[in-house]
Amino acid sequence: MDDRILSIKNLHVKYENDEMTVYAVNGIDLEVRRGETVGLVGETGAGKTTTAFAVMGLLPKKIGSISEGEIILGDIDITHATEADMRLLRGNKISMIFQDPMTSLNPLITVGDQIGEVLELHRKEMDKEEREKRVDALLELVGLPAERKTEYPHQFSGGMKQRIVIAMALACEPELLIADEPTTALDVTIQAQVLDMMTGLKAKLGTAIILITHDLGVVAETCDKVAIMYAGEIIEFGSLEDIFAGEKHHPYTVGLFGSIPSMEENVQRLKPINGLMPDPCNLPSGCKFHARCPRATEKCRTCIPEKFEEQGHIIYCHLFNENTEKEV
Amino acid sequence: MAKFVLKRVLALIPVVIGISFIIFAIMNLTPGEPARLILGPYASQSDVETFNQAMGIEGNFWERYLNYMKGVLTGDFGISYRTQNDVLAELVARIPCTLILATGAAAIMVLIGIPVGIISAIKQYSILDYSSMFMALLFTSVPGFWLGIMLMLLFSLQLEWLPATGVESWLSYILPCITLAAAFVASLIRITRSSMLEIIRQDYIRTAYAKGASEKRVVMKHVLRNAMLPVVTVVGINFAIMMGGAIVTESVFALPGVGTLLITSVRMKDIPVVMAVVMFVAVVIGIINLLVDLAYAYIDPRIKSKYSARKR
Repeated sequence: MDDRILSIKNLHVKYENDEMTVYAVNGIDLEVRRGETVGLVGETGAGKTTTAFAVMGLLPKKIGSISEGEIILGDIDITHATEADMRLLRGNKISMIFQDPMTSLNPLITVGDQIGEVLELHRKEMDKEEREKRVDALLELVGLPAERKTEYPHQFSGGMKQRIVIAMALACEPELLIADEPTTALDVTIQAQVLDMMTGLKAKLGTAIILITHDLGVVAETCDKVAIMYAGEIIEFGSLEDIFAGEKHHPYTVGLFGSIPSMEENVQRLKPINGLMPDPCNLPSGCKFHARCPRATEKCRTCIPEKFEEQGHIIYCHLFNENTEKEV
Repeated sequence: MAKFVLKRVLALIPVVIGISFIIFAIMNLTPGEPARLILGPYASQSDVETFNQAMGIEGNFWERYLNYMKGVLTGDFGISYRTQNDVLAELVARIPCTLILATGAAAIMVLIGIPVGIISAIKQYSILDYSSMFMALLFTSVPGFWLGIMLMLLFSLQLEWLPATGVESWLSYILPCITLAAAFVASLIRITRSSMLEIIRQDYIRTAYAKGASEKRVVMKHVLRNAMLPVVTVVGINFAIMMGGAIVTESVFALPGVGTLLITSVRMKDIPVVMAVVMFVAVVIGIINLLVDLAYAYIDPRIKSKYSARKR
């Protein structure tokens, strides 16, 4: 039985204008199964949001394009779908929650109408009354009183707006929900509420979630699988246990964890990863992390690391390939 | 909301009083006697005195201003130094012409400016966009009097389709309306375009696309209304300017409007007429601004709630 909802194969996305080409995503593979939450983690500029936009078919027109690879949703190849086909998918089979709830809602339309619009677009068989009922139910689902649907976005707090955005994304019970840093703009107590709600909804509706974040705490709380992205590549992928408790790690992942304050050890200073993400217009040769990697060797500068896999835990790093060679 | 409107109307009163004082001061304290200008350079001193007595130009500045304002409060705007007619009657006779001219020009401005601006924004960097931007540049750069004369040459003298000057029928208004509208069309195209482009970049437009809405639907339902706020302001301001200052157009086409009345009265130092025209324009601008604010509240619920919050 195939319960794969989304499979991304060797996806490359670039942004082009007259002056330069930005290589935002460089050959990523990712699979998402029904009811699963996959965390997409990485620094700003790692290509997380670009990946999400590619899946949604919302890359900026004329500038952004998928140059290679394929994205298959269910049995539809998104990379070759027409705009009209994509419109039928968006908001229906796949939906997306954006980073900033403050600006994600149209200030001039009541929240009820904004949620109802999704139904109007994808559930044409519903009449007005059924739609209204569904909007009420959705608002209750995300914990807002249904009678507030006639109010405008400015009458809600940030956390409430994010709930409205989530209600909108869930209106058609999508198979895949992409949440792009859904909690970044919210304060910590509201963050926990929103995450709890998303986990609860996943259990209730069986929706698969791609959770984009740079917050490892959020990942630990909600994800089943984690993909670590760096410079447009997934450099490590595994189950939550693999990433948080596994023994083998990509040096970048080690660095990411080293940047979080620990409760157990009394460390004086955090260990940030030195240096910056490479310029996506001019990516380095070999392993893209070599310039910042404490364990880089000559080989890292010249050769692109091969895939190392151990029971589904994938790492792209020369350290482990040597080990496997030794072991074999 | 009603209270808000009332407040705004009442706030007009000090504005009009302030303007009346400034204009009265400028007209009275600058050199040049109305009597000398109207009676001509060879008028005798006794003629001038008789004239001043008849027109009530007596006493010092403050006395004259207070007398004038007393008259205004009872609806008496005085008589014109130049024509000896009642000022109010003279002004009222000129309003229809200006109103038709301004309304016609505003209609042209809105009907061309907004759609062209919208298309230009949606098809940014296309040939349509470039040509409408070129058109806008051309219209702002061409002086009104020159455009008026050119239109007259073509449509009145060459083709003989439309009357050149004066008011014979509604046909007489076509050329003046086009002339007056040209520069305003250009500004409206530009403001509509930039406002649309601004809104298209907003996050909630991306949200609308993410819902699966088509471009047409997104533009009609989400972009347009949001983009209309600055457009409404510009339409209002432009209409106010047209009502008060279509002097060039009215002069070129010899239309009996408020603008030509103002310019002849200023030249002859016909103070009561100048005062009445300026106060009329001030009130018109005030009312149009109020209408613009009400339109804002109608479009944007955030502004509406601000107004009703003030009510409490």
